[in-house]
Parts: sequence; structure tokens; C-alpha cells
Amino acid sequence: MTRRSAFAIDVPDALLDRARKRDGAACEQLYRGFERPVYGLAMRMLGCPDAAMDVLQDTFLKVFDKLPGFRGESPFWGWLRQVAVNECLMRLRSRGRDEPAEAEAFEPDLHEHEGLLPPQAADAAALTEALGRLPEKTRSVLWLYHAEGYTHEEIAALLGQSVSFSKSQLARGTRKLRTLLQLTEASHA
Amino acid sequence: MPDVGHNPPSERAVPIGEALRALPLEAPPRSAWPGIAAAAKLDQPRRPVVTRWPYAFATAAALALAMLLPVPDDVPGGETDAIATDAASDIITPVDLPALMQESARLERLIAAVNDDPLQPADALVLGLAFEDELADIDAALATAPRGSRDAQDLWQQRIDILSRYAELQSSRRLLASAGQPYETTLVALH
Repeated sequence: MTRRSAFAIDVPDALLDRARKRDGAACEQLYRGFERPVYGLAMRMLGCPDAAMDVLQDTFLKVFDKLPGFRGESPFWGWLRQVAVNECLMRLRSRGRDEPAEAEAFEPDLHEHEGLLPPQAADAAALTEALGRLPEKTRSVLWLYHAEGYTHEEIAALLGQSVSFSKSQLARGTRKLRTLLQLTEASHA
Repeated sequence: MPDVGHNPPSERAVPIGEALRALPLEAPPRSAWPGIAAAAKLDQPRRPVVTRWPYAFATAAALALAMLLPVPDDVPGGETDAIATDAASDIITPVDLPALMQESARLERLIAAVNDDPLQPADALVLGLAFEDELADIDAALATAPRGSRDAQDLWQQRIDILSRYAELQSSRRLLASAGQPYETTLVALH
């Protein structure tokens, strides 16, 4: 299955070289190219426009600051995305919100058919609303796995948790999303 | 409460990954660039807010296409033409700022809806990038314009004008697609 991230934008080496030298126009081009992916990721993970704006600003400040040390061994977009994800996770942790106890409990793996959402999921507003009702950590795992293509191992490392924790969050989030969307569908029937 | 846990999957069920990736990317309510450029102490030359050639070209092409093509009543995105024309009105009063901001946001949503096409031709993508540049210039100027000032009002009007022209262009592209005509070839012929 192809998992294409919104961040997957190729950046010419010449542009990166100019940005490394703090060329304002080059840095602005980078910002314009990745503004929406960074803000969109932050909105999905944090669910708060003000916090997402902070992530947007701090991500690019860090990227421009650390760009001279970026050696280009991996795609620039992947490196930038990692900075943005770290910024989001740092804010999730600093909020100090405790997830409900049941959100941390083990959840059985998904059956194959459970990976399918009700037709209501095609309605962007309905899906966005349902996502917004998931616990932050669960929603983040769901987004990183499905929309950004991270593996359970990578997510576990980011969150400082086990692989089974990531799998449990994914299963719980998917089931909850199905339930929320089916309820929405039923209420509109 | 419906039995939501054991329902068989509907024929119209959507794979979760596909549904999440299909969600539109949210745009920030304002550009963070002026703040980033200032905080990073980048050498950022001040650029005047002017309409550059891609937009003059785009507008001319869109208007020419609109005259050349038959317009079906029920073409997707057809509504954009009318809204774009209304939005280009020159009538401004000092109390219009909230209305301008609202109209700007509405046009952005409409363009996002019309742009929801992964197979845009190269010309459309290039024009889209130029459009983003135009908007970025205005957003940068808005970030420093006193709120409620005449300058801010003029900038919001310029923003709407640019969005309107881009909406016209995208609408024409959709019309061409619905008429089965190649977009790039027609643009070149018109140019």
C-alpha cells in the first residue's frame, strides 16, 4: 500500500544550499512549500489553532537554525517532518494532560473488516469532528501511522512506549472512530 | 443506540488510511513567515505588492476561455465564476473589513474545493505557486499593517482580487476538463 505523506515534496539541493547560507528568499520558499503540511500535522495532533501556529513557527526556526548540520542523507522533507512531529510531541507532553486510564489499557488487534470506516468517513467535516473527539495520544498514533506512514516501531520510539502500546492505540482509535461515525450516520438516517 | 460494534462493512465503507489521507490540509489563519523571518534574522528584501505577469496572463486566459467555451448549467465548480465576479466588486466602505475577511476566507475554501484534483496539469501547478507567492506578499504586508487601517482594508481587497482571479482560472480549467478539452494546449493557443 502506498502511503504518501503531505510532506513528501522534493526540494532541489541548490535551494537547500541557499537556505543554509540564510538566504531569506530561499528560506521563504521552503516555508511556503511546507507551511500547510506542518500546520496540518500540528492541527491533527494537537487540535488547537494557537498551538499549531506555535509549532509552525518553532519548527521553521529550528529547521533554519539546524539546516547547516543537515547532511542530506535522508530526504529534507522527512527531516523537517521529524522536527515538526517532535515539536508536537513536546507540546503534548508539556500539557501534562492525563489520558483516561482505559486509553492506556491493552486493546485486541483489529479484525480485517475493522479497518474500514462507515461511508460517513468520506465526509471531511464528519471525519474531522470524530477525530477531534479521540484522546490526543490516540489521535496522534492514528495520524502518524495512517497519514504519515510511520511504523509501529517508529511511533513507539517517538512516544517512548512499547510497540504493543502503539498497536493498542491504533486499534482503540480505529474502533472509536468507527463507532463515532456510525453514530453520526445513524443520527442522520 | 445502534449496534455499532458488529455491523457488517457497508459496500461504501472507506479504508481508514484512505479516509484520513483524503482530508484536506488545513491552512493557517495567517502567515507565520513575517515572524519567522524576523526571529531568524534572515536577510529578507522588502517586495512591493504588485500583480505579476502570471496573474495577468491567468486572468486573460480565464476570461478568453469563458468567452470561447459553452458553459453547462450544472458543471462542478460553476458557482465559483459567479462568486468570483461578485467578489471583484470595487465598492468598499470603511465598515467592510470583517466582510472582506469573510469573503477572503470563503474564496479560499472554494479554491481549495476546486483544487481538489491530484492530476492538475503542469501549467496549473505553476500558476498555483505564483498565486501562493502573491498571497504571501499580501499576508506579509497585512502582518505589519495597523488593524482597521485603510492600508489593511486595501490589502484585504487585493487579497480578494487575487483569490477571485485564481478562482476564475481554476473554474475555467474545470470547464475545459468537463468539455474534454486539453487545458495546456488551449492556454498555449490563446497566448
